[in-house]
Amino acid sequence: MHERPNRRLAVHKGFSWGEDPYEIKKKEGREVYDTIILDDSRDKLLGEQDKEVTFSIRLLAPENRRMKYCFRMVKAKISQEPKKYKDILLVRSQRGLLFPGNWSIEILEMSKDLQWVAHTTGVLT
Amino acid sequence: MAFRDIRGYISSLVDSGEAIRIKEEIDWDLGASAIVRLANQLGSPAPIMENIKDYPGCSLAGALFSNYRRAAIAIGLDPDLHPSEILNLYHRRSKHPIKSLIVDKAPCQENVITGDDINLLELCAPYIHEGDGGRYLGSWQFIATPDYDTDWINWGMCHLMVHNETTLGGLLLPQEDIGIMFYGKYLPNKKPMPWAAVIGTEPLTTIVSAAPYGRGKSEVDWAGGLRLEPVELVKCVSQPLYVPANAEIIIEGVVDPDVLRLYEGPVGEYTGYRTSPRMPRVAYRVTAITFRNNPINCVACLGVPTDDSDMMAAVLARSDMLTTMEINGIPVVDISIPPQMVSHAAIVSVGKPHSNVANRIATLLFGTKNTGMNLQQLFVCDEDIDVFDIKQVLHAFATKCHPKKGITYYDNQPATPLLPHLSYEDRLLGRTTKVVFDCTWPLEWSPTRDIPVRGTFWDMYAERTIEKICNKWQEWGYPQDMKRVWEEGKERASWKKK
Repeated sequence: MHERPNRRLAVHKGFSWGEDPYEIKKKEGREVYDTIILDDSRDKLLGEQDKEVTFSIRLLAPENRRMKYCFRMVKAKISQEPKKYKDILLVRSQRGLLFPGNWSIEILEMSKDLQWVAHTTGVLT
Repeated sequence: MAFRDIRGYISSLVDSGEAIRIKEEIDWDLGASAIVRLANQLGSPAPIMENIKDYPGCSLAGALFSNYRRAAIAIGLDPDLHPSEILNLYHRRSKHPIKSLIVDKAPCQENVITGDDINLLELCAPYIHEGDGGRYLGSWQFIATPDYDTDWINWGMCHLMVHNETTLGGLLLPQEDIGIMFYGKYLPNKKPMPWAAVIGTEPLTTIVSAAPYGRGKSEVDWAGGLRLEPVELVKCVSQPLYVPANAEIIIEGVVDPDVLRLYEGPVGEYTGYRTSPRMPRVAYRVTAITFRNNPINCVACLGVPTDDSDMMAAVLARSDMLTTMEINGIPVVDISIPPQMVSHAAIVSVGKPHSNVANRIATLLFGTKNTGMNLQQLFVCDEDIDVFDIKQVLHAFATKCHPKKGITYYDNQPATPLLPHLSYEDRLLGRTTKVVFDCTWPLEWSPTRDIPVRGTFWDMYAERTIEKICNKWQEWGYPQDMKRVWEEGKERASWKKK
């Protein structure tokens, strides 16, 4: 089953998995992170631009490769303009697909804390 | 003879051509899992990757249980046996549990890490699919948890994502045994739930964790019965639990009741899609890590069939459903959970003791705790269908299932939230519709006026003609040994009444 490639769904065209973060870092000399958004669109993130926001990011090109995909909480400024801030932020949908276009991020504080949320009952997640 | 550990099983797979050892350096970051995925899709040997980038001395192995041949080897059978024979033996053994054995020293504790030295990133956790929420240290493993107020220890299979150096996360469904323990007992009593993740045992010890053995019954005894030998257990170093002594890696810890949840996922799932979104899920705090020298982490790169989870369902769900039908006196001839249908469909062949037997079976199977949650489509066929031959089943479905009278829907049924066809709301509520396709001739139909004779070589010709042609088949240059096929099958195809 699926021994050879099939056609791709038209609705998924335009998304991608992106370039190798280490290649991006090497090419641009900037750190690379990503964030996974929970909403169906980037509207909320667009509204957070240029403000100090606290959210969870993943390390995509750390010096120690074993740290790749580790989560960190950051206080940061972000922008959809790819070069506005120091480093690169990739934006990923909650189903994993990468939205086209790099964002930029200026990290003001980074901690090893995680993004904790309250227990809920009654729903299957 | 039972395999002592995953290493013995892997050697046997390699010897029988069901696995290959890869010595070239492979990246844990998508490389290893992509190899496993393609091997699954091509039906190729299981890759045993013994040189992992950034993790010298560690191995990653995948697709270890992804076809009937590997299932047969795991059970200690001839891999060329028909699936039905392999599964029936599994089913018979599952009725005779063997108590476990406690040992003092264990290979899984050759290395012990506790306290501030704990760092999950020292273990080789693969990043499995592009776009996954994180690295999954546990993708083909199980978690042992003690019941809050009894001496029962449950084993359950679930993913474990690495959040950071000391914390894992995963989906813990409230209707599963581990969920009932945590949400029903530990959380209301504000007590931490101990757990131990067990990675890399011989396959039977791992797969039983995914089966609905029953509340209060310990999977370890079941694994012993399937192996025909007790499972050796050793006491954990930091938690009140016993774990298989010959496992590759043990991670111990607690789920704290007063600690909040963490966003986990998404991850490619058994359905063949990345169904489950990123959601707040349980956080597993780690208190100790123990592992064998040169540990092997087992990777299930779940996706489209056929992979380990599909085969596991084909074995476990079949046995569970067979038990349900046996208890209820259904004259089942055979049952198949086609691996291509990812545990969502079952095909039953049955004698008809009374009319409407298809819906009787449906009401029994849709209600079972684990297998019923996944089961969506039930095909009920007459006894003349080989349920393992999907082409026969499709033919019966297309010709015998009345498009209106033969189909019954069951609304508002419980569902796993991972079903891809559910809306977002139905997924959260665990709500679906199930369906039974009655592919049997109605009991009230006349065998001479209404029920036609099937147009196969075996049905439309007299035995003397069949025998004559089968005996000559290879002499005429055809490759198939039809003489043997007829000899083996002629009693089954006999016109004589028993």
